[in-house]
Amino acid sequence: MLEAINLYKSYPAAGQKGKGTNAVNGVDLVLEDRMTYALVGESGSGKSTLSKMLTGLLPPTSGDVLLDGKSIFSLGRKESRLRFTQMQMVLQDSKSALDPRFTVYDSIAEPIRNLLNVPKQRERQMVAELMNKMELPDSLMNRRPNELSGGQQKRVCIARAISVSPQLVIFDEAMSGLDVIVRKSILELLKRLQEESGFTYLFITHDIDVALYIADHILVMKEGKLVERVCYTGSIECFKHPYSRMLLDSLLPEYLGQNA
Amino acid sequence: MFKKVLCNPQAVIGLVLIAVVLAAAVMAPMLAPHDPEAVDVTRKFAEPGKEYPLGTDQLGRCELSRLLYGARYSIGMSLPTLLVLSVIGLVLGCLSACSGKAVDRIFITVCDIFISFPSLIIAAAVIGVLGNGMQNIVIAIIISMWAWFTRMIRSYAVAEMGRDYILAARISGCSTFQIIVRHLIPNIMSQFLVYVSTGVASAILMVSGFSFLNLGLSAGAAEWGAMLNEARSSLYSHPELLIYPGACILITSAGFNLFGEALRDIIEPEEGQ
Repeated sequence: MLEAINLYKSYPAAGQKGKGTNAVNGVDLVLEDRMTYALVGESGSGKSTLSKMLTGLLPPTSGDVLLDGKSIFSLGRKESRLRFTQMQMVLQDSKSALDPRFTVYDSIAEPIRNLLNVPKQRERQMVAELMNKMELPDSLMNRRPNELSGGQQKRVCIARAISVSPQLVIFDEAMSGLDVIVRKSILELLKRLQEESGFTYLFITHDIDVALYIADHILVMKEGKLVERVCYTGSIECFKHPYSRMLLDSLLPEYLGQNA
Repeated sequence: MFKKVLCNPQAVIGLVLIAVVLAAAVMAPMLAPHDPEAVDVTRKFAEPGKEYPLGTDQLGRCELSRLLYGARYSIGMSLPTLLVLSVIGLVLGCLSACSGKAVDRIFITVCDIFISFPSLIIAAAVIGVLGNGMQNIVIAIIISMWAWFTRMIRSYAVAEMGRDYILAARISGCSTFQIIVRHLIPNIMSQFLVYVSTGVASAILMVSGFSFLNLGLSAGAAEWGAMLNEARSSLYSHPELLIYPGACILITSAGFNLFGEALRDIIEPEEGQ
């Protein structure tokens, strides 16, 4: 379970000492195991800053993040690295998230080598299983990122993230930029993986349709604050906040018709 | 990559010039018709002929032999210098880029202080303190150029550190050392090699420049810069004695510069893909 307590992050304004912009403004959040959450909001609402703080990649100005009751900002150097066995992140741009000089095998094997102490043979077996799970053909194993399609790059990034069997996987705008067919097939695959392995997902997205499709809890963020938390059961009527309604209004009418 | 180098005329010309100079340096003892330091004043300013293909200088030394041995000085001093500079630049540049803002600021300030001193002043000071000698010239060049290398490599590293795959490596559990060795250095290597290959030309010019000013090498050494200096006295009577070593310096530095710049043209579009 991941818990965010009163998180604040402010960035200093250029040239104005003491003044700053609050990117995240007092966020409290609990992510229960085996659930799928979506954090939606427009660009600049503080979603990515929040996701970086949740993974401990960015220290908050104030507040804390607890992973199974332990603050992730007070861990020692080794423990701090090992927290990534429990939480992983899939970044937005898969092409630039893969080292251009690494093969698919090396990219997927990297967290296994760094975080799990397994023999070489087991590592090979794990990578082959992950590629199989992600529906990536074995022939891609020695390819480099520039030889893969956008969908394949995304699958490699997801395979890398789930290679250490983390409790929580955060997708930071990871579904944007994919064509709708590839996006749907990846979302389906993620649903299946969750049923098999019991991951908790947090989707950071500005596409509310992705949130409605996959999440069972939707958190709406505006100007650094969570303005609405909805346990989504298939009807958009549960969204009450005017900002949430505005985001929903951006959907195509036929989509709304299906969900109303 | 190798194919692209061979298809680029500028790179091929650069490589041919470098190969010629390297061959001259390696095979100097076999190719040189005479001992480059053997003085024979009875044959001073001899015309080019069968015995002395490029004639002799003001002390009757074989000009061709001196030019061939001169390549040994230029290559033999500039390549080890570049090797040391590369190691210093890579270590300090990557450390600076990966450390916190305060440490990075200190690195930049120290580099800026060293860059602000003209290299000639540093060389004069180092040779003044340590005395003449090939290794002292190398030390002088390293002291005057390390900050340039560090700054340049730091700028490559900073740009690379902002890329998502570095963040992904952190999430994959890499330590800072692993990030530098596995991800950062291999990814800046191509830009770094371009910088080094053009840096060889500057080092050769510095070696020749210092010996032209009598800084570093002992009198009479068959070094192109020193040969230029000695030939100054006979500028009007035997201008060819200035032209030969000058042309050698030009060919060598042009070779490395042409190759380095062609390499950049080849690598940069590749990086952008």
